[in-house]
Amino acid sequence: MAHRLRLWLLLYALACFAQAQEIRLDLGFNGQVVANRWNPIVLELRGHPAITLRLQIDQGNLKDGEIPITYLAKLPPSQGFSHFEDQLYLPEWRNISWVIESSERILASGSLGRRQADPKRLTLVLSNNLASWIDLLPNQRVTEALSHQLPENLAAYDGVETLIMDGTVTAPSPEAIVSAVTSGTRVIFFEPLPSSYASLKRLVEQNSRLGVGFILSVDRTTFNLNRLEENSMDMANLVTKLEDDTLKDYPTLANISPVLILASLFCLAILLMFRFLPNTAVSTSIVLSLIACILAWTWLKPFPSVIEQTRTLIVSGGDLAFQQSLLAIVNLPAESRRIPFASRLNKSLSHSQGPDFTELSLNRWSNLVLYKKPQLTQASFSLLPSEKGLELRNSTSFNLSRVYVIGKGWQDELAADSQILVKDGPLSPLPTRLERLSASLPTGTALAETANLILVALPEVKP
Amino acid sequence: MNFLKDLNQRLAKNDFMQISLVFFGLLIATLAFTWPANKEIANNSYFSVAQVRLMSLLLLALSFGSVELKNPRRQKLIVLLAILTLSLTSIVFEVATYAVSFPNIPLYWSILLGLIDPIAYFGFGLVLARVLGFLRLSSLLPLAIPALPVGLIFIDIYLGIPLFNPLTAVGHLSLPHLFLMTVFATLSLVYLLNFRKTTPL
Repeated sequence: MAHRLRLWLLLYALACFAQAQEIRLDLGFNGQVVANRWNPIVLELRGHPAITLRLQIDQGNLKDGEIPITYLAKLPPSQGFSHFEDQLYLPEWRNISWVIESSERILASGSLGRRQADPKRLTLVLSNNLASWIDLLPNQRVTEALSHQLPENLAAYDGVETLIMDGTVTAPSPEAIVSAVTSGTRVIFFEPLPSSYASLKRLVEQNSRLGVGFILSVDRTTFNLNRLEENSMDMANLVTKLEDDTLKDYPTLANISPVLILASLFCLAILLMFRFLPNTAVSTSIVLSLIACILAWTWLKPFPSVIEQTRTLIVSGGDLAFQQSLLAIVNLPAESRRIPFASRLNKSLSHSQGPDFTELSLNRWSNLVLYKKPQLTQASFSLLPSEKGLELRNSTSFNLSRVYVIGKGWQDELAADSQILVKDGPLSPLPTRLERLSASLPTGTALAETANLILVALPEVKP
Repeated sequence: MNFLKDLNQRLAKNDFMQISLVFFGLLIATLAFTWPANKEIANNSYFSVAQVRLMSLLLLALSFGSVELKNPRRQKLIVLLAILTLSLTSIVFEVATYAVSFPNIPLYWSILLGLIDPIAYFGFGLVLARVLGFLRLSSLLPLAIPALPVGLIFIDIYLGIPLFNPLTAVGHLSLPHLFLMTVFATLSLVYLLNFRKTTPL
């Protein structure tokens, strides 16, 4: 009897232990994290109380000391299986530590050291023979990926340069592949592929370009890595060109000369009152001072003291587009802000993040640009091949008056929900914002802009 | 009414006119040196102007407090009110720089300090002159006047609390400083207003 009881107790303890171990936290792909990029984060666990996932990222340096970023995500209690997925921007770090905790205890924890902070983008290989690919992809940061674990969110592929499939493993979901391509990842199918890849192969038949990236179907003998580079675009580079001086412009303050002249006149008036108003000097000077206070306040105080500007870049290829929005804040008074979206900042600043918020304290007289997580959208401005030639389509609800095609010149106004044939136009200079972007775009790209929106339509991939 | 008339006359006296001229000149010079020429540079003029204004008022209060020791209390009160008039008329410098500098403290704070601290320091001046007179060291008064604020600042540094130092108090809300200065200002006013028993206003 006693033996049986001990056996049951042992089994119970083992079950508890197994349950405690059923936590999986994946940061990046296959443990490979890309610095200065959005990285996927996946947490899976079973039968748990309300828990908090907390990541502490120290992006400081010897000069500035610790600059922590805290990432917080809360999961409600669950009796069954919980799957949490998000994307997190990781700047180059000194140390990352993470902890999964309930109100009573720490369930799991871990850390990533500085040596793992590699900014080189990944080449993901979906194959059961990774070793054979390493020789074919020299100087690439190759890692294995599992088909069923590929995220279906565009931002997760920010750090992925190439995704290779040879058909030796289960086919990934089309949503994952579409997200990867649209983000700018080069997706390469190595023929021959089994029939389970049929739905993915159809993507290649429709368009080779989807969003920023493209899909190619090749075989090992014709594969040339250098040719891939010609058609590739790194969105991180393009997105930084959205930032210009107008987003960081402080309000203009009054010039010192009139301030000094008026201040001197005021002082002179006060002194004359002291001297020549023997009965009312005190009251008159105080009244004059009050009036001067009101006038100085209304004249000198910059309005508004906090300036917010938004800008959106939509880069389309085929039917899909990559959308990147930013919020620029110029603030004169110090203040704490809660921004209702996850973001990456354009400078090292201590802040807190969550799946849908960014919390930070802004110093007085500072400017900051917050980049939203990139998103996948339907293409609203695209280049379409037709029998007559190349056509530009505007699916937005507004007219595009300034449309430019690199190598072709300015085009006619493009009305809402209409299309025009691309023709040779005047090659007069581009506006500054488009000029900055055009340097990083291939010939044949169409550009259009409205007040806060820049639309880019990429041409088909060169054969 | 005689009291107000005496106050107006005190303001018009040459010594006070010259002091006011130097005081305003100092504020204008501070404004000129600290106002940035480029809009990319933060406008920190408030911090300098507020410190210069408060420190000047405190030195004035301390000097007049120690000099006026032997005069009747009514005259001492008139001098103190003249200094407070100077404080009120110079508020515009703080308001103007506050409007462009956006400091992390409320506007009323430095205005409050500009009224309470001079009263307290006027009292310190009276005590300082009396102590030096008692020790027969009155000749050291010109040295003791600037030395006292310096000594008080060192006490603050030693204690690690902004109790006496107006330079740190003006940049941060400091309740210990406000409490201490209010106590000293109240004691000074109680002392100065005692003349009512003997002399009508």
